[in-house]
Amino acid sequence: MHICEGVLSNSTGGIAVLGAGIVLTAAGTAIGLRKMDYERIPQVAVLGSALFVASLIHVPLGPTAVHLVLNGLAGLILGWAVFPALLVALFLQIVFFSFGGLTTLGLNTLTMALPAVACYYLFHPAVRSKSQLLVFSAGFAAGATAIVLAAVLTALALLIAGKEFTTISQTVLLAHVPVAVIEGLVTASVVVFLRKVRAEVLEAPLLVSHRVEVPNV
Amino acid sequence: MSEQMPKPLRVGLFVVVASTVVLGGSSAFAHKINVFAYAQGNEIHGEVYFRGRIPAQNAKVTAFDPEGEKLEEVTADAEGKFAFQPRFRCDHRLVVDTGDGHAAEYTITAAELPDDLPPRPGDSTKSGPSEPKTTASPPHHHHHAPATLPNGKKLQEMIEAAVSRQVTPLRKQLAQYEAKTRLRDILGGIGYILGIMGLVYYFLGLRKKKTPDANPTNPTHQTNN
Repeated sequence: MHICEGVLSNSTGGIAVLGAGIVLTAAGTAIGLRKMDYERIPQVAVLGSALFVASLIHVPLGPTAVHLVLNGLAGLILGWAVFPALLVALFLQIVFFSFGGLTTLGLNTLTMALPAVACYYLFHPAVRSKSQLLVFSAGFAAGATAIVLAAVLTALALLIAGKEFTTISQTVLLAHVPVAVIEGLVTASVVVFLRKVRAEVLEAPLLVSHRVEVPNV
Repeated sequence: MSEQMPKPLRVGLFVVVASTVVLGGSSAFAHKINVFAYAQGNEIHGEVYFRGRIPAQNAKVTAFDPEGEKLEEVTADAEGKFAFQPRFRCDHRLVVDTGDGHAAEYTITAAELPDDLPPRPGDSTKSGPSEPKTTASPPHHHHHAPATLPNGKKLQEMIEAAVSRQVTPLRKQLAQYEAKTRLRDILGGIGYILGIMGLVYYFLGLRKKKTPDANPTNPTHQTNN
């Protein structure tokens, strides 16, 4: 999912896309930080670590290697706070492993975090339902949708950057179909597990309003 | 309030550990494509792989000369290996692009390639074929080598082949070592994230101290911050 340093910076279209990525990621991060209240900081940090680690672990699959992204899961749990979490995770991946690059950091964060936020709004209500089947399905849908949307955004960014990326975009889209399925299963199992063991984790993005309503004991 | 904070932390930790265990067992730590190549005889051999020695099948490898002109294009086989015969004795910059935003390169210097290849046309800096052979080496060998040994050129080829055979595994290992995602780095990254969390807490704590102070004895406390 990472777009490498230097892949886009040759064309004006590419530079525009990179710039848009930086601006929108900055905006998303600002919203995320504003929505992140005191109690949720450890959660954001820990999911940031999960995002950081997940995409380091590659599994061979056909002619290439795939890895989890976990942006759907992070989106469900963090809501908008997925932006700062992903930003930090991706930044550290650049520093430690030179994945992606500083110029593409904004765009890469955007392509993964925006679908995560979308999944939060789409599937968060279902994940909080009482039926376990519904919770599982919503988790699967969130995991898979986040990947597909992220791949579409990446492909779109490559497309806008220049025509010569058409085949690349197709490669990106195709390569992520199996990833979406795996990611869906992982997200679904984690969500079902969390619902059983620590249901309040999935309520977290709503903690603020709960706390305002209910006075401290 | 403070009692609840560790809960999300614990659950999140579970997520990290679980994903590490589940996936770490069946796979290698990997990302980022790598390319490694070496000259053997009159061929350039190489491998393309992802982190953790996962071969990049059918990856397209393009060789460029120092001026950036395309010399050769080969496709890696199912094991990620490729080989081709260089036509010129010049630096070969091997670039791999899997087409999905992953790219890597590796340079084979002219010195590694056989002497009898013609230099790149227009590259007048070095006269590749003649220089090393005719100057130092052959007289040197003639002095010390008994008559039964092959002549200078042949001997040099043999030595080169032998050394290449011995050294190549080491260089491969080194390249792999560099490419490996080390547990240390991962733990380091997680440590940084926790450190950032600490910083955020620190600054939020400062802000909380400055504004209302939120003490129960103060009835006129402001809710915004």
